[in-house]
Amino acid sequence: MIKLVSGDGAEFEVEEEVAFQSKIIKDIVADADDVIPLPTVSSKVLIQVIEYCRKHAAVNSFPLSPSSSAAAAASSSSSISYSKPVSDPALRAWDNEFVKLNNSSLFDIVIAANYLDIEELVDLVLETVADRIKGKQAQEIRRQFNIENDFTPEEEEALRRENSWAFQNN
Amino acid sequence: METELILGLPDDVALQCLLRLPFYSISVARGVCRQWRRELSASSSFYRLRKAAGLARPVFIMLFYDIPSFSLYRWRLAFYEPATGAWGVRPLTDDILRGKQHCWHVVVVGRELVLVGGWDESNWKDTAEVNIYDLVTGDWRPGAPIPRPMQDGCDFAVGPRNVFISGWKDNLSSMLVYDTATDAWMDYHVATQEPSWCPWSGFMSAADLAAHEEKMMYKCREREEDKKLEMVTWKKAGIKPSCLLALDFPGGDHDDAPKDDYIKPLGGVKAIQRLELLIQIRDHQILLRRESTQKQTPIIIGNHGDRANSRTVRLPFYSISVARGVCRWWRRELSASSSFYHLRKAAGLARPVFIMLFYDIPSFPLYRWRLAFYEPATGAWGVRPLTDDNLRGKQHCWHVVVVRRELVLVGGWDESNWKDTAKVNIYDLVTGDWRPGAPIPRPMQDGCDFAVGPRNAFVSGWKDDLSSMLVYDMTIDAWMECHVVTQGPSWCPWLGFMSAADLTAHEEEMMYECREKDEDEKLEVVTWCDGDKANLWRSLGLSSDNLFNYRRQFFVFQF
Repeated sequence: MIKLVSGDGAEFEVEEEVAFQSKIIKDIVADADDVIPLPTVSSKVLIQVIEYCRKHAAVNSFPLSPSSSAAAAASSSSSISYSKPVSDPALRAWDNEFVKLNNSSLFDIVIAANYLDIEELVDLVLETVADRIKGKQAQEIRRQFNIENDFTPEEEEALRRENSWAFQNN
Repeated sequence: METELILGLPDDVALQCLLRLPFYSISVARGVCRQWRRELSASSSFYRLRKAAGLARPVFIMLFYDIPSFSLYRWRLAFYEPATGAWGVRPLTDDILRGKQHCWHVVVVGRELVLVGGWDESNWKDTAEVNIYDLVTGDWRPGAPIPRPMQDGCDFAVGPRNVFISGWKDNLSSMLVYDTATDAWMDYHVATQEPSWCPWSGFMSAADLAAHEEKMMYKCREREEDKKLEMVTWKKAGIKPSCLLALDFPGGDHDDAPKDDYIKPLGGVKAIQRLELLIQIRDHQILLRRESTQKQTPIIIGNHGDRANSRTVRLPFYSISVARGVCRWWRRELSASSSFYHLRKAAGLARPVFIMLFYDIPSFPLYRWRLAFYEPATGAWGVRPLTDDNLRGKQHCWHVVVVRRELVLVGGWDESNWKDTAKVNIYDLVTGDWRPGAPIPRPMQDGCDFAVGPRNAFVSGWKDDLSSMLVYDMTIDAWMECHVVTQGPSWCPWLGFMSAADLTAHEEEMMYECREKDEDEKLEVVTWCDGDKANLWRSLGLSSDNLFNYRRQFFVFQF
């Protein structure tokens, strides 16, 4: 068991294979005692990150059942994903639920995951944030991310005319 | 006043997020605020990073037109991204927006659409205008006008970086080249290649194009980053022509008689499927994937592969050629064509390196050439032999330029006959690999001089005439006579270019000047160690005594 201490002092005990989803923890655990302080990560975020790691550690450690691997094979032949795909459809569905959070919670998670070097989680969240930008018009993006519009109305008009794709996603 | 790119996220994480935007969202995102616009500007490192991170995917582009009223063509672009099935349509021209742009003669170079020839609607005449459209950012920029408007019978082809027009001058074999890097039109004379030579595999002359026009309808070109050009059919890419046409016209029905160019969507708009272009905005991803399946052993044992890789990209310039000798896997990873170098640049790890070329004379008249390097950022330096008795002893190093990270050596030396030869050899400064180039039409003469462009080597003073110029194009490995057709007499191919006459006048001064080259375009002149020569020799571990009498050459390159 490894003990993680969040920024606000709460302690969390997790199994090695869960904690080792983080490459940083995996690297440092060899030469330190098993209490790891994470001063920049709050309890709320750490709980979510551990939840994610626990789920992924569980799935990654068991071989896929024949039915789910067949499904994975079928889905990988029909759709080409450009980031490392999570091959298990159940896990992917779980991931999709996991990221149904507001922007600021997502940002906290990605900052923590980046800090802990959990590559899959960073990818997942960044992909999600990118999904919230793509296919939207500039005004919606500004609202979503609280960005101030600093173009003059004339500039904006010119930009709108030149830059937009009438867009469809099948 | 600089705020965060995305409120609540550190900029490096926010950038990671923007890198994941698909092609069609980038132009929209540029309209969000000034800071995003700057981050996503055409010249920013964003696009290189995106490629290097393996986030680029193939995008198909189709160009077609509406005819809102007779004689008015309004051009549209459709894109289709096979990986996600996303597609969309946008106007390329409308009444306000470059309504008069002609889109009959179009090619894609890099990620830009080069449109040759405009249309003067009031006089019903072709014009010589050239406009260039960035498919990703949606920016327009003007190009140098073509010498005369395009004629029937001319045809069009695209090289990795140039636009070729064959059938120029009413002669199928004549060719005009537009070089997008230098923004100039040139008459093309292949001086040293065979008559059947073609600039890259898959190239079609005007005659070929005419013969294959029908077939070409459903073919498009797939381009690998720099060199390879391959023909693929839409079918191979998983798009059937009919479904393609269907997706171009939302809500419209269509008549997909394959022999008929016209399709009639419900709105009664006629469109012709004239051009199909596939741009591989980048297939780096494929490259990376291939490499990773090829080899399971991590590059450094006991390390996660990516992590090890991110360490090797931190190797300085001079360690790379050594690292290539460690094992086959490292050698492959660090081969000249590998994505390693893109990754390294994109990660901002490249630093300026000064190179000096000089020689020893072990016995008269044997010249043995040496390279010295100096890295100002770290103070590291070193010397290595470029030629010796076994190693290309006969290579001449009098006419040398650096193009990107390669040393181009023009002209060999026949020691037994004491004669110059026409040999050209190219040396990779980083990997230490040699490769032969196309020989120069005749050995170099006195009075010729040498200059370097972003991608080409220029020889001025060719044909005993200071204004004549010979160009060696690295990409297609050919020598061409350069005739600048449309530029003014004072035109120079890039900032800082010197003709043979200029070079002679400044020779002394040039001794301690060298050029710093930015990734693609910019060329800047910097002085070597701020003009402190003594310090330079010290830095190189050489005393000025053992460096008497030779001609030294300096280069700076970014690695």
